[in-house]
Amino acid sequence: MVKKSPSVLVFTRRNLLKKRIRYSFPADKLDSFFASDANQLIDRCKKADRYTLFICEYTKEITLKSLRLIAEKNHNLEIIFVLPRYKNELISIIAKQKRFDFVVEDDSMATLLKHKIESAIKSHSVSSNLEKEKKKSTDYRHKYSDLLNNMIIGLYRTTPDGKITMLNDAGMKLLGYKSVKELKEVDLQDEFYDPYKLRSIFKQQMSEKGEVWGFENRWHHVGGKLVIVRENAKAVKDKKGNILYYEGTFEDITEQVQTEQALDEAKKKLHLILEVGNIGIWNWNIKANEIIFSREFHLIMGYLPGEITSSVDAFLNLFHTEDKHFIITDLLADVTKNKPDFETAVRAIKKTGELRWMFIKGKVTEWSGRIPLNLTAVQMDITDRKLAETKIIESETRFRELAENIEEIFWLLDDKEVLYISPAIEKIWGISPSERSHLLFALFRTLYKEDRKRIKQAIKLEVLKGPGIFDEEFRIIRPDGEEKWIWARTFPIQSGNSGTRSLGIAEDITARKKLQLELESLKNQLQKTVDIRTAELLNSNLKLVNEINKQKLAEEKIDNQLKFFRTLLDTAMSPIYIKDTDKRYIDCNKAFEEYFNETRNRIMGKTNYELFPLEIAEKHETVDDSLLQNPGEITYEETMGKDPNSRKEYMVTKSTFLKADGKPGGIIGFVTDITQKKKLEVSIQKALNKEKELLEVKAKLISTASHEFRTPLTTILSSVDLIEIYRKRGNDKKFFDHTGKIKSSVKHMTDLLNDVMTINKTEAGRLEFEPGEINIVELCREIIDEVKAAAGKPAKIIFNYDVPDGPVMADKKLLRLIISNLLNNAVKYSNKESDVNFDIKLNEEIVLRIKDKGIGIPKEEFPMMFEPFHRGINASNIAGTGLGLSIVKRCVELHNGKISFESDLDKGTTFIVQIPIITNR
Amino acid sequence: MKQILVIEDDLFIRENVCEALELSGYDVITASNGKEGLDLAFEQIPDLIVCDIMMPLADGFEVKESLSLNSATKNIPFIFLSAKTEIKELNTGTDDYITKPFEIKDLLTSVKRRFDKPEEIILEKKRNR
Repeated sequence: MVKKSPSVLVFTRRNLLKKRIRYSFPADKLDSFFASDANQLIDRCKKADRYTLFICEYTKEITLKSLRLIAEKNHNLEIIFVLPRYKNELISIIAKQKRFDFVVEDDSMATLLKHKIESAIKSHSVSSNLEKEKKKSTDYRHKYSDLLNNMIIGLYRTTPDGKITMLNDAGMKLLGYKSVKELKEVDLQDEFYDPYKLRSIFKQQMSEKGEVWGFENRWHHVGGKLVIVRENAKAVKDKKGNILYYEGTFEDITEQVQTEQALDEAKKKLHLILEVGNIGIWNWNIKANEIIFSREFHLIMGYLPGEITSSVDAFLNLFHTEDKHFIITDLLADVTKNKPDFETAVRAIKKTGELRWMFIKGKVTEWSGRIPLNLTAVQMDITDRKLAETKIIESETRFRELAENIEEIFWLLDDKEVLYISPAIEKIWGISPSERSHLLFALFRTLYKEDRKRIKQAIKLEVLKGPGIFDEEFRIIRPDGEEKWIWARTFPIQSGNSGTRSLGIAEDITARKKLQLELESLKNQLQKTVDIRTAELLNSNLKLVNEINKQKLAEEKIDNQLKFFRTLLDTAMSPIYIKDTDKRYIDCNKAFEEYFNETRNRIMGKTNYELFPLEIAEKHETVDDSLLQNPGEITYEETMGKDPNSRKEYMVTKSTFLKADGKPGGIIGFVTDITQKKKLEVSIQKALNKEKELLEVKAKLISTASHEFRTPLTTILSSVDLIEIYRKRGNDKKFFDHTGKIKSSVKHMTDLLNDVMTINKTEAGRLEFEPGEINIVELCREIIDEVKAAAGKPAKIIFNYDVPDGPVMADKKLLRLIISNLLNNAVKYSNKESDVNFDIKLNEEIVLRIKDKGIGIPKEEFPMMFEPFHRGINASNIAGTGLGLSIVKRCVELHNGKISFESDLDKGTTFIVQIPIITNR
Repeated sequence: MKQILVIEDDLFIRENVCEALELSGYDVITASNGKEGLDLAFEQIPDLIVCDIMMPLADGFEVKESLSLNSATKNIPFIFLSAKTEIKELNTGTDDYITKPFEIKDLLTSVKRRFDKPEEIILEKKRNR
């Protein structure tokens, strides 16, 4: 379906772009449709065959897939994308799509598009005539392709990431591709380069300079071979400098490079040969009579390069005098015979004076008619080779000597041809080595019939697999009828160029075999003996099994016993443990686990140091060591813990247990918690101490009391004596004085007795606290009256009380002792004129205050005031037992009260007693 | 007339001892404690001292000790009045003692013997010469 005039379908939504596209239309009238939305476009695309050209802005709505569908339906429809700038990725994707052409929306867009449209229109008009012609000329690019394809130079265009978008025929030929299609599959990222880093070097140069000139690149031909090219390339950039694609040319320089390389290599090789092969070169210019020497020539002669003078005389002096003429005569002779080549072996003298054999081969290289003008020669040190030759001759002689003197047969075989066989063959085999040609056959014939087959097989195998595997023992019958055992082996030997030869050794082992046979029979006998012994052993094994069973029973018994002991241990209340001789815990009972608050598993294997604090561990260690040295039993006490409240006391008994051999097998320890027992002991000790103290006090009291009784007794006795004296004299006044003294002494003794009794009661605990309901004021009045009566002098006691009505709970007996003693003292140590104040107050407690204006107490005596029998220094003239205040103090204490006093010497004393009230019975 | 110093803290005993000695014709001075006794002894240098042991302000032993340190008083004869318990502490070699309670005649015998003793010693000395 050919249209009369070409029509263009344009899709874009941007008005500006629309204008730009329209601007690029050619001058002549063009049928066109501008679609600006997708629906419109789809509608139009249904009749796509109407259009020659479709210019499409690239948007998301236009998927490549849908366009590809349109394109497939309309082969002739040219599709040109208008791509946004700077979207290189997108450009490269579109560029890969062979079916679509594209323009980039840059400044050159209009021009390029115009060109493309013109070309499309042109090809459209031609297409109506010739299909083939059309294909060639529809694409603008194809116009150039003829030219490009006819060039020898490769021409290409690639995307920056290495996709070939265009390559001319020459290029394709160079790289071995047949079509553009095939080529477009090639990815330059692949192993196209050799080595690959060439690509990155190329890219780097491109990005630095924007172009590459004369870059020697190595590519892989499609067939895999290496193609070396010289490449010129340029990066085509947009205005912003982004690389759009690379364009370039390349020419094949593979051959050139390879030739150069080969030449280079040949040069190197030659040099190497000359050097390694110690080949010197000299050139004799006969016309100029001048010789020049190569570097190697100097070296073989032991000189430094350039050291040898370039004269013929100097040259000839380098050779042995006897041999000089060889060079001259041989050479001249040859030359005169008109032979261009010559060779000779002569002795040369090295710089060191050493003589060396030299081989010289030369050639006349320049002639003037028949006269030689120039000759060149190579010279080689052959001394070592000569020596080697001598050595070979020597070693061969030595070999023969050896081979011919050994007792073994020794031969050399080359492809079944016997090269050599040692004379021992005659001695062993009885066959002469001179029969070499049919020797093998002769030898084979001597073989034992029974062995023939086996040996044949072995030889076949050797032929098949090569020498070195033949290793056989066999019997022969010598021509003289003697039987022999032979052991033959072969070994491969490498020899220069003639392939592999084999070397054989055969020896007479008849004697050894005999011995072996004897051994064999001995072995058989031995086997029999062994069998008998085995049977015996079997028998004893049965017995052993019996024994084992018995042992098992015994073990079971032991096991049961062990279980019994384990139960015994675990039910024991005291912690028990067992240590080995290394002082490590090896067993313990449950009580021990509890004692440690650890499981047995964690205790086992531990040492003292791992289980106890250092101090205790060391004690254990000392005890353990001494026990292990002197087995026996040790008991000691141990304290755990520092806090006195939680401190635990243990009694540890350790004893060694002995093994069957009488040596100590370890230590068994029993631990007993004696904390309670210890506490009890301490309290008993305390009670005992108190008892002892009490006894001491009592003893002292008795001793002091007895002393105190002697004083009034002394007075009584002396007064009685004096009375007797005065009776004779009739002195009545003195008589009565003394009877008075006696009376007062007796009274003092009575007081003393009473007080001692009271003290004794308090000490013995017989004076007890027995509270009852009492009227305290009444009690006080009673006591005041009693004191006044007993004073023996007028006494003034001023009684003040501040006491609520009603009875008070107190001990009447104790209160009486307290009050009466204090009041008695107050009256006793006061003048008869001075008052005694007695105040009593009762609120939370009973407070008694007894104040006198008497003699007072000296300060230094304050601390002794309440001690029994203590009397103030200033009170010696006043009768008293010295026990009153100690009785008071004891009574106050029994009543849970306190007593204190204030005193000034000669001014008076105040005693204050505080007694708590008992509110509840 | 021989002067005797009586040191005794108990009033009745002091009075009775004093009376008994005076009745026997001795000049008696008295002190009621050790300190007072020492003062008097140094002041009067008595011919004999009768001294109680248990006394306030320096006991009998202390009085004796102090007197023996002074050359003027160290040779004064001493008679201790003691309760039985103190006997073992007495130096029986040089001093006399009377145990309480005692009879007057025992006291007087003891005093008389003390006065005789120095004469005996002098006599002995003369004999030695």
